[in-house]
This record gives sequence, C-alpha cells and structure tokens, in this order.
Amino acid sequence: MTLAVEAINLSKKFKFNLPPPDSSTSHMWFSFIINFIKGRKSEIKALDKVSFKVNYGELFCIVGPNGAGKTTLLKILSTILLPDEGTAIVNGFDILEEPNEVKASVTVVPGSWWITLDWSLTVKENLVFWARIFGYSKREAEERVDYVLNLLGLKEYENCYPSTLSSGYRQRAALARGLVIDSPIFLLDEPTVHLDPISAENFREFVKKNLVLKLGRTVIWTTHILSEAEKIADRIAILNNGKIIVCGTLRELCSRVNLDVYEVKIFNVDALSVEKKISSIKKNLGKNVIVRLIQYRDKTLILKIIGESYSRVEKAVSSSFSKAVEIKEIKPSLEEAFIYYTGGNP
Amino acid sequence: MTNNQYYRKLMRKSKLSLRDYLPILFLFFKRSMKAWSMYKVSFAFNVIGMITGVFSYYFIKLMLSPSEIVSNLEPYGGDFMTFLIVGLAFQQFVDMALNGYYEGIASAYWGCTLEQYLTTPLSPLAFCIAQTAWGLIVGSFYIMLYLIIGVTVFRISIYCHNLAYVLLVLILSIVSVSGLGLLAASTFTLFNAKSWEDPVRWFITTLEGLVVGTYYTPAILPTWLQVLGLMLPQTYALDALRRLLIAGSKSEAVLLVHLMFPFDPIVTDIIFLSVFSVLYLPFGYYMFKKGIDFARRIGNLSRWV
Repeated sequence: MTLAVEAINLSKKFKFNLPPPDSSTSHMWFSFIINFIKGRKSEIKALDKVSFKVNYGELFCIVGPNGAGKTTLLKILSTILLPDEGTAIVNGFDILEEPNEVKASVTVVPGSWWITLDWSLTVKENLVFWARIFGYSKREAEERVDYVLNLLGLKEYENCYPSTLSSGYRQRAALARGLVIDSPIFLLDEPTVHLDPISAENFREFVKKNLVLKLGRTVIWTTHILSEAEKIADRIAILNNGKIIVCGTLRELCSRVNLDVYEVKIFNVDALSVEKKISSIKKNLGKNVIVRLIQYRDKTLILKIIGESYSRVEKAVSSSFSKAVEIKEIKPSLEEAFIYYTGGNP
Repeated sequence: MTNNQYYRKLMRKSKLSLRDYLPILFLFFKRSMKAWSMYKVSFAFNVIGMITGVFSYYFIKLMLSPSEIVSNLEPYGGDFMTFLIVGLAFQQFVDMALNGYYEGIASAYWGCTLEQYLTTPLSPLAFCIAQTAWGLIVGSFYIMLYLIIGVTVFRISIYCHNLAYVLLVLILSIVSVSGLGLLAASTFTLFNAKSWEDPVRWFITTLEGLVVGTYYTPAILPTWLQVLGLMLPQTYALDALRRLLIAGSKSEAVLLVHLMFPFDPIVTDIIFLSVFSVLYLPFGYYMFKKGIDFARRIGNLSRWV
C-alpha cells in the first residue's frame, strides 16, 4: 500500500433556506412564504465526483477559488462530514466503514483560529487540553506543547488568553494546536491565510522540511494562494465548482497549458500615466485577454499578458506606447495554468 | 517495514478506554470550573434569585391555614418549608441531567469547537456527559446551599433515613432524566433548535412546574394532570427523596401508582425510576446518535460551514 489517501467519486450537496426577496413586491414575498411553508430549499453542489490519489510522504496541494469545495473535501476526509456519494480511503481505512481509524490517522488544522481554540483557556492550557483529549498522557502532552510553542514563537504568549492575542498570533496558536497532535496524515485548510508573510514562509518551510521531508508525514494542503502551492507542493490538484479539473506536478500542469504568455517591458513610462495606459492596452486586446501589472520601478513598467498572439500583443502595446518596448514569451506559471483550466481568474 | 506498517504505527488511539476517559473528564471539569469562576456576578444573581424565591413561598405559606397544609403534606412530615426546600433543591439537581446534554452540544457549537471534538477519539456523547457531570457538581453545591438556608433560616428538619436508598434514587433519577436530556440534545441538530431552547426541554420544564409536585403535593391535582405527572421521572424522584430525607414522613400513598402496587411507596418509586431508565436512556441515546449522524450528513455541525 503506497496510497495515503484515495478519494473515490466524492460528491456532496448542501441545502439551505431560500433567502427573502430583495424587492418589496408583494408577489415575491408571497412566493417566498409559500416556498418557506413548503420547505423548498436552495441547493449547492459543493463536490462533484471528486477523485484523486495522494501518496505517502507527499505534500499535495488542492488549489481553488473561494467556494470551490476545499473545506468540504477536508471535512469529508476527516469524517466530520458524510459524503452523499462516493467514499475515500485514508491510511487504508474507509471513511464510511472505519471512521474511528480514519480519525486516528489524520490531524486537521483548520485555517481559522476561532474554530480551534477555547476562549476560557490560555494558549498553553488550550494545547494541553486538546493533546490530552487526543489521548496523549500528561507528560507527552506537555513535552509536545513545549516543542510546538517554541517552534511557532509562542512561548512568551503561552499564558495569554486567545482573546488578548493579535489575529496573527491566534492563528499561530491554532496551527500549534494542530501540530501538537501527530499523525501519519495532516489536513491543512488554508493554514497561512491570517499569517504575515514571514510567519507564513516559516510555517511553509517547517511543514515541507520537517513534517514531509524529515518525518515523512503526508500533507494535504488547501489554498487559494497559487504562489504558495507553487513553492511547496509535490503535486497540485485544481478544484473548481466542486470538481477536480486537473491534477499533477507543477511542471505537468504548466506543460499542458496551451496559452500564450508574454512579459512586456516598457521603458520611460511616466508614473501618472501607468493606469491609463494599462486600461488602453486592455481595451485594445479585448475582454478575454488578461493583462497584469507585475512591476513599476525606475520608470520601467512590466506587464504580463496572457491569452493572445505575439502580433496582437505587439500591436496593442505599440499603439498605447510609442516608447521603447521589449516583448518576451515566457513559460506559463501555475497562475496561467489555473486560468487555462478554470477559464477564470484566481 | 512496509509503508503500510510504518504509517499504521504512527496512528493515535482510535478509541479511548474508561481509564483514558477519567482524566479527560477531570480536564473538562477544570475547564468548566475556570469558565464558571469568570462569571461571579451571574453566580451571585443565581443565589439571590434562589433566596428570594424561597422567601416568596414562605410568605405564601403565611396566608394558608396551617391545618390544611399539615393534612395535605402528612406523608412528607407536614411542614411546608421542609417540603418546598427539599423539592426545589432536588428538582434543580435532577434538572441538571435534563439540561446538561443540550448545553454541552450547544456550548461546543456556539464556541465553534464542535467539529474539532468530532475529530478526536472522544465520543460526541463524552463531552455532553462531561458538561452534565459538571452541572451535577454545581447542582450539589446548590442543594447544600438550599439545605443550609432551610436549616438555619427556616429551621427545617432533615433526616436521612437510608443513605443507600437516597443514592439509588438519585442515580436512577439522573439516568432516567438523562434519557430525556439526550432527546433534548438531539433536537439541536434534528430540528435545528440552536437558540438555547428546544421543544423537549420546553415541554418538560413547562409540565414539570405544574405536575411533578415541586411546590405542592401532586395528590391535589385533577386526575388527568396526576396521570401526566406519572410520565416524568422527576415526580417519582421528588416523592422518594422527600420520604427519605424529611423527618416524620410516612408510608402513605400520594401518587396514583402507589395505590396500584402493594409495595412501600419508596419501592414503587424506585421500580418506576428503573423502568424509565431502561426506556428513556436507550431511546435518548439512539436519538442523540441520529442527531449527530444527521448533522454530519447535512453539514450543520458548524456555524461556519
């Protein structure tokens, strides 16, 4: 057995009450009340036949925009939610048949501190409390907590209540709670979302170097930050509208992208005209072409233009800028791959 | 060692033994104690409310004819304040088992940690039991307070006739009422009763004040209300506890079932409490489990889906 996780056709729908109408028209309210009485609900497909495989010791990133179904997927893998269809095998155990064994095989690290920490306990008390209810002895729990507090720079805040910490430190405390509990498989749900760039980088480095490379743990990491996935993932799956659109290594994903990507350098651009000029290029290229501002420094403007041929890019740029221009074709990155596969913006 | 064996070795405990549960229960107590100690004003208000409540009934008693009170309360020793204080103290205690399960699940839900508990090897029932057990500790404290006020202010006379019976009645009351408490907790997810109120507890607490005999003996009620009272374990619990704890109580029938069975009323109460324990607890547990499974299916275990 080399598979840590295998998701097989996982599907999940959520039903929710229809919202009241915005308009005050009486017939709209009448139909809303009728629907409410009849118990009619709106439905959203969170996951649609999701299948993928994750090997042991792999850092597998699931990237997708907000509402793609990433959190739902992790909740199903950790047995918090039941799928409507399909199943998953986690560490060799079926999530439907052997949920207790699955729970013993995974550590869930949610991205939001408020769903992890108990307000009435200090940071250290929180971590010890959770470690103990996961079955660690008092000594083991305290040793692990001390290690993780030092690791995440929380030692000096160990006696603070979560409510007295800044949101970044609360998030660190939430991550610490996750790391205190060891298991073969870690499920990390947008873990760096509330962290400052340096803390986020340190955390990514810790997960990659320590958890994955040194200790051989398997990590499934969801994120909507594409650069994060690019940096750390062994393999990436793109999830959009509840469907896995593509899955593979970064190189595989980018090599399949059939998109023209150009880096355009324009020299001697006046700072006041940057915005106007970009709008004019966008207008010339049309709605389907993506124009991104990469950098503006020392009067040099660098743009990335995705999804148009060289000749049209050249024409559009030169019509807006009469000054020196340099156009270079570049390899698509994960951002372009994402746009290509999802047909939208990340 | 194959991959399989290596990673299986890294697994944590998938189930906890009873020995593992005890320190965890203590941890929950410690946490609840800390949270409780943060609300000193609320505690003070509770005590003040409790004292003023007892005094209001004392003044009502002054309006009533003493001979009528004695004749109605003869099986319980004949003193209204003793009857009332024992009733209030133990009704509140037993009700901790009614409220604890719902409050356990509701506080985890509103504290946003319910889903996290479900990723632990703890059974969802465990933290509800922990909450209930803590409630019973607080309830014991209130019993002591009621009895101290009763003995010092109202000169009530308490006498424990049989400690083993008292404990047995308390355990059976808690077990049987726990069945109803679990049923109440199941409505949290099954009927989306998340605003700290649920149909089961609402129905029982409304009915309880009227029919179980906290403030008056159930014998003065119309027959149909007495029959309704017989459906609730609290009726038998209060009857038995008063007989066991009040000096001068007699073996006279009060509840309708006492007339139907040839046993001592305390024994009849214990039999009925046992029957309710056997009926209500498994049903309550079944519904509680259904509620959790339902929530896992529809995804309403979290405020933030």
